[in-house]
Amino acid sequence: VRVQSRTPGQGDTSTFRKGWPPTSSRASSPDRVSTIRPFVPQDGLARLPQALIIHHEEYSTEPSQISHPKTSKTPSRFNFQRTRVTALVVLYMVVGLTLVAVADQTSVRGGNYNEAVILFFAGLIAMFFPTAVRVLAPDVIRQERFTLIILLGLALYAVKIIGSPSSFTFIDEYIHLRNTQNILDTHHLFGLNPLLPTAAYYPGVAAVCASLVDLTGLSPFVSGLLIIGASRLIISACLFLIAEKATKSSVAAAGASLLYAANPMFLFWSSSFSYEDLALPLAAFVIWWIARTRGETDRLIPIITIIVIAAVAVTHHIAAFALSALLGVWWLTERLFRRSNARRRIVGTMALVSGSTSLIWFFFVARPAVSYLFGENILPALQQTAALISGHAKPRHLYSGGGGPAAPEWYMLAGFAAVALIVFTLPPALYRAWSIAFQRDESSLYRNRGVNVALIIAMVVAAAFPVSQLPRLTTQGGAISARSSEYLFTGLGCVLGLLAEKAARPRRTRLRRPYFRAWAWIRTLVIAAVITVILLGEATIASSYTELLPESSNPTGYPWMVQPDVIQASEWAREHLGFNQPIAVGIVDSQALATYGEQDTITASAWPIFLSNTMNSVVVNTIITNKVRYVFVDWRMIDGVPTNPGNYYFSPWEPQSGKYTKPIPAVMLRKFATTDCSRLIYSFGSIQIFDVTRIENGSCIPRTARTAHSGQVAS
Amino acid sequence: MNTRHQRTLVGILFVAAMTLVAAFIAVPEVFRIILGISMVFFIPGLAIMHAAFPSKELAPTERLLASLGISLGATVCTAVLLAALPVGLTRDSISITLAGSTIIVSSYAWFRMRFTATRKRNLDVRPKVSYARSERKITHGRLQRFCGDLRLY
Repeated sequence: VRVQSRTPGQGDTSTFRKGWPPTSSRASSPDRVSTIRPFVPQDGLARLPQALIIHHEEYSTEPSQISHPKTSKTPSRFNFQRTRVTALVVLYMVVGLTLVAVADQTSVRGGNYNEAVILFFAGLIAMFFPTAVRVLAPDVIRQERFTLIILLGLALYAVKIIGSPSSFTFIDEYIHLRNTQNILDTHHLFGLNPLLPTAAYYPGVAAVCASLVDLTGLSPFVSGLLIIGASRLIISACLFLIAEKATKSSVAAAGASLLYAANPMFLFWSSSFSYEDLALPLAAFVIWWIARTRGETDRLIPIITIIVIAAVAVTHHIAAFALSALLGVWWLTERLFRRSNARRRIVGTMALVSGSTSLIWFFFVARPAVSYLFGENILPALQQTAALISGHAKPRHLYSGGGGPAAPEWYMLAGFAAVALIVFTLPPALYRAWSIAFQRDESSLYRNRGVNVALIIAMVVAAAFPVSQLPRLTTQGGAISARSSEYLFTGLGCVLGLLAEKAARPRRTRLRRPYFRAWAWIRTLVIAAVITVILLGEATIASSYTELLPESSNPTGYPWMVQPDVIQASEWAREHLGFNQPIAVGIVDSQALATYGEQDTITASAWPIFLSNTMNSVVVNTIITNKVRYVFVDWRMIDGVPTNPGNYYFSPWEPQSGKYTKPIPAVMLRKFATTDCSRLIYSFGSIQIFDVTRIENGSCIPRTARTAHSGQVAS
Repeated sequence: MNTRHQRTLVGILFVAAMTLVAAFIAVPEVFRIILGISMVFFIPGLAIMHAAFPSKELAPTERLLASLGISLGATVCTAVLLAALPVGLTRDSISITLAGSTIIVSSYAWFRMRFTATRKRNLDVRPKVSYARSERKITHGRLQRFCGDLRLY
């Protein structure tokens, strides 16, 4: 409905349509923003169109909902009110971090864990909710949104640092710490990594960490924190800018960034010192860089792009493949919709470069990665998912992993609520994105901008989210489902961000109804609350209940974090046994032994050595086959069941994996002390190290092995 | 020539030269940390940005972000390349390579900036007639080139 109106004192006429906001597409110049608003009398009834009075000064608080970097008109003057509100939001972040720190300390000191978890979530809410409200609010300039999104990313990174302030704690961090140590020791690549052999063939993060250690003299831990902190800054900024380009709205971009921050991996996994956490931000940077510079003709720009693409290819396999696929889809989509050749060509070229670099590195350099990725991870997950769909397998009971205390109901409910919220809001969000992408939207905000290719890609990525939840119901696919969210939430964020922008936007649907500005604020609060619920729910999906907070310094059962006495024993082993000795050890202690001790730990294939009541032929054969020279015994194994998600001591393939309800019997560990073929060489606290070299070289065969299967042992 | 660009390039060259010096001479630890962090996270990218965009002004946030991303990418590639070569990844090798390449790129950026400035000066066809400050925005551009100082527009 078009209404003709008259501005007082000027005499010229202008037109406006029902709905908000007035946009730059209707304004005569990109910088000039129409601020026409009909005056509604106090009785709430609009008069005839001719009687309407136009107030140009209204809406001046929000310059433009389009907010394109080049066209948005941002106030340049210092605004004390705005700065004060931003400072308040930052203060809330600090309060939230303080609450998280108190929760962590409560857990470490052995306080009430349930209360500590509630305090932890309260801290997350204090950090996230005010920021979400602020960045989605209508009267905020783009630069403030951008700054707050980056600050939120860094604050969520600080949550991880507060949890482990003095050393690495996650298994992936130990894997890459070992890689870094190898490079620092040998100055070359591809040193043996017993924790994950494949990781040695993707040395990007370890090489840059070793460079930083060499250049600054800082420890690998501090260097790793700096690198991942810089990566966090890159991904927060790039995702905002990419989403802004895709959605043409800084509010939608802020919503997209908030939703990405709510993905289950963002809080802890993406903050760890791991190869993916450097490669993914660099991949996001490549996308932003290409989108930003594809119109430039300088010859240096493609070279820069190729350098960063190469960095991604040597840092992480999945991130490199995802980047190649995204660039390929981008090129293909633009080809379908007939974009200009020159701009399309650079995307196609870079897709080709990225694809070929990734594949060459994957197949010719990182050869063990093929079996690791497909044989050990993707194919088993696909097989189990197929069995689940065909009805041949039962779904996994969610939130049951680990042998620790059961998660409370609210914890599980939050996870289900998060997934349900995303799934239920996805169809309308996809519809809205489709309307905008193909110019079917009636609001003039997105008209005359051509087919939005970026949004089409985001829709495709977002539509894969429900499918990605299926493997979560299997034992092997849970990790893949969770990790895929790091990629899927990019598209999901853009699509749901558009819906959030539409909902949060102040509007007047009926001229006859009095304008009530608070409705916009109420809608903003509701949207911020919904995204906060998604954040909390997704956090419960990523971490088991017992591993959400740091472990107590005096754990009662079998610990899931490396303990100080294990580190002490590992350092003793390095000093007295030398480097790279083959030592059989449990999965948790192997992390310290491989890094602090720099030993060649044997874990996955070592379970028969430990999980037998006597030194029988199987134990002896396993020692001989794996060339085990030492056995690392942690007596805390008999105190409790493993609380890791797979619920195992050594390997997911051990007989009772995932089914432990009580700890292993003491006789399984006592056997090393009773046999005359092994020798105790270290004993402190719960840790003992036995020398089984005589069994390994065949010079001594335990009596129990001889009597049982002497022929088998001799062979 | 843009004096701000010049000053930035001088700063980049100074930090790179100091990193080279620090590779051979013992310097205070704080100084070493500052140099090392800036060389890994910022300086090479900033030098490359100046070489790629000698005259065009990017937004400060974009320039910072690009410097960070390019520096990290370049450091990853340099470190992996050095570790793969017989020379190995050592303190000396990474310092010399990063600082040396930064100096080369900065020098290239310097000459490119000068060339761009000279070319701009030669192509500048604006009339030497003074006009009011308020009119400069309007008269600067293609229209003025056609109209000269006759103010026909």
